[in-house]
Amino acid sequence: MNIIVCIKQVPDTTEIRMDPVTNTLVRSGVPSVINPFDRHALEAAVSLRDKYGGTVTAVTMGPPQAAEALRESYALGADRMALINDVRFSGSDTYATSYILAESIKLIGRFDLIICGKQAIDGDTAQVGPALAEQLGIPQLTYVRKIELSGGRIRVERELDDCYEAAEAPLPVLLTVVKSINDPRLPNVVRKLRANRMEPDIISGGDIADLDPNRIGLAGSPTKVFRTFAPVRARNTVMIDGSQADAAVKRLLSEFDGKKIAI
Amino acid sequence: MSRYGFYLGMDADQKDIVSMVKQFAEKELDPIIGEYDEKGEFPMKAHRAWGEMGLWGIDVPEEYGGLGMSALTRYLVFEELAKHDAGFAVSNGAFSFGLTAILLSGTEEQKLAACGRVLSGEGISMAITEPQSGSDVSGTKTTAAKTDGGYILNGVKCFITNASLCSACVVLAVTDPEARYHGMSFFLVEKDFPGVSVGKHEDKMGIRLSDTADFVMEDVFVPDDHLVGTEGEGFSNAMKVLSIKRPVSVAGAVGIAQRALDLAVDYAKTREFKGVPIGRLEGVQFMLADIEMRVQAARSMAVYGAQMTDAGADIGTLGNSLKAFGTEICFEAVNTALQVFGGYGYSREYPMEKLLRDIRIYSIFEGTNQIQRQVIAKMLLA
Repeated sequence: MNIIVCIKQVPDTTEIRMDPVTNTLVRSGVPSVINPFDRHALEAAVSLRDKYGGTVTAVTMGPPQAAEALRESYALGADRMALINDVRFSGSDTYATSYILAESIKLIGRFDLIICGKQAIDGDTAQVGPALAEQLGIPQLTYVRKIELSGGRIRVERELDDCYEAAEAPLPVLLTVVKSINDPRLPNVVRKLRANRMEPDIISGGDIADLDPNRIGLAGSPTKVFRTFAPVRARNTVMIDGSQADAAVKRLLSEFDGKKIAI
Repeated sequence: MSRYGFYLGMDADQKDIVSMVKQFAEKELDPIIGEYDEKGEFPMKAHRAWGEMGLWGIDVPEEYGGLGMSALTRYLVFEELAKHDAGFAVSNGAFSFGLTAILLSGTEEQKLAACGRVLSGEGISMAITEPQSGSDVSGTKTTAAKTDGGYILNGVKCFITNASLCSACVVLAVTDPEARYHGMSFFLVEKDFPGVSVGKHEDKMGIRLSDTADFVMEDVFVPDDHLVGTEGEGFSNAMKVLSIKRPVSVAGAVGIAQRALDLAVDYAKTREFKGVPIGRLEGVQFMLADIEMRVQAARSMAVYGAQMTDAGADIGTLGNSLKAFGTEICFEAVNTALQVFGGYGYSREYPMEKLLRDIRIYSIFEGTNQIQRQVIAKMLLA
């Protein structure tokens, strides 16, 4: 089985610091980790590989330091590392990222399964996995908490808000996984030291034939992030006299309107 | 967490290794320490996780399939581990005590077999201490009488780390009573040899996650090929093993003291006296600085010792000094940190009292600090 795991290097949340002037995340000097959901994706892939044979390729799109996250993936059991890196890719939103990932994965070769974490803890959109499946034209099964394989088909349990749903699909398919799927192993020291002496395969824009410049970077990003800020929490209690029911309801509804809350 | 509370010269590999040890400890040790400290039990599950990370091979040379880590890197591993639990660090290190003895003087076959056992997590411990002779090794009463094809061993060893856990033990026994220090030999005694039994598990004050028990031998037949080194070499080999392990075992004391410092600093920032954090009071500031100085000094000595060991130097009195002085100032550091914590330092619901219970053993085992002083003076005056 050839399994591709998409990972992202994110800031370590235990060390979050906000710049008080710009109100944005301070990224310099903050340690980076593999996105926690992606560790579960990697564990799922490596467990399947251990059971059925094959290769696990860890793939990430990011700046050169993202190679460290790939080395961590190698220490966690991945067989191959691929870094998608090009200065022209920076500024990409989830749509542009999914396009670039899809084109890169086509270069990496034939695959049976792509496993992603549910979402990244910095962006929190949960869009890249599903968008990638669409770009590749393959089915997707999201919020997976259990995986079973048999006869070229995959059977999963999805963790939804109020129930578990059993679903199945033929391979190839893309999965996004939730935390309850497994308990990720600890990294192997021998593998990490070996990985420290390895470089990942690099995929840059020039490697992708017919790369559409209008679909990458800022130009290819329909969404733009204006500002990231921690909301100021203020308590503002409005007391409404409930003895006159009609008046009270009208008052309540006008309060909602004023705060632009739709019911 | 202190910004200078670790060895400042780590290379990329060492940083990775320490980070992985930290991940391991946060996942496998931190959640269970309270329970296992209460019970006084070694966590086998954590030991297996350590093996899955590939870390059973720390003390095994590369040519025998191990990680072949330098003494300095091993120091870093054990300091980090001891910041979480020193007891686990002690037992963890003791899985390869017997290996060190065999690597020093064993045959090639013995070395290969011993390395295999350590790499599989079985481990080989070492037994020197007896009920009537701790510091007085010349008073060893365990005998090894020569017989056809081997030796018959009789005796009791006590306070043996990992006696219950390891599959075998390298035992110091008297082969020639007349020759005193030159009449002792090392034997690899399998736990399943008839006549071998493990006695009561010690209910200790501290390092309670480590396994400590008696190792008893009653008419145990040990074949010739289980003699480690030559007859009469046992005592000097035992001293060499302790000397080699010294900088790395002091890592435990430094780890405990560093943790105590970090806890005391956090407490000093939040605990108030007359509306002001006690960390603003000069008396407390001086106490914290005293702790920091001692931890820095102990670490510096141990790291220097580890570096010189790696360089192949004979560290002589440096080894004894870093053990005796380093462990004593670490004890002072933890004791002072507990004082900063006040009443909460005395309560078992807070982490400080365990650190004091854990650190106390370091001036005693692996050669008491009194013996260290004797050895230092002897070397100076030789």
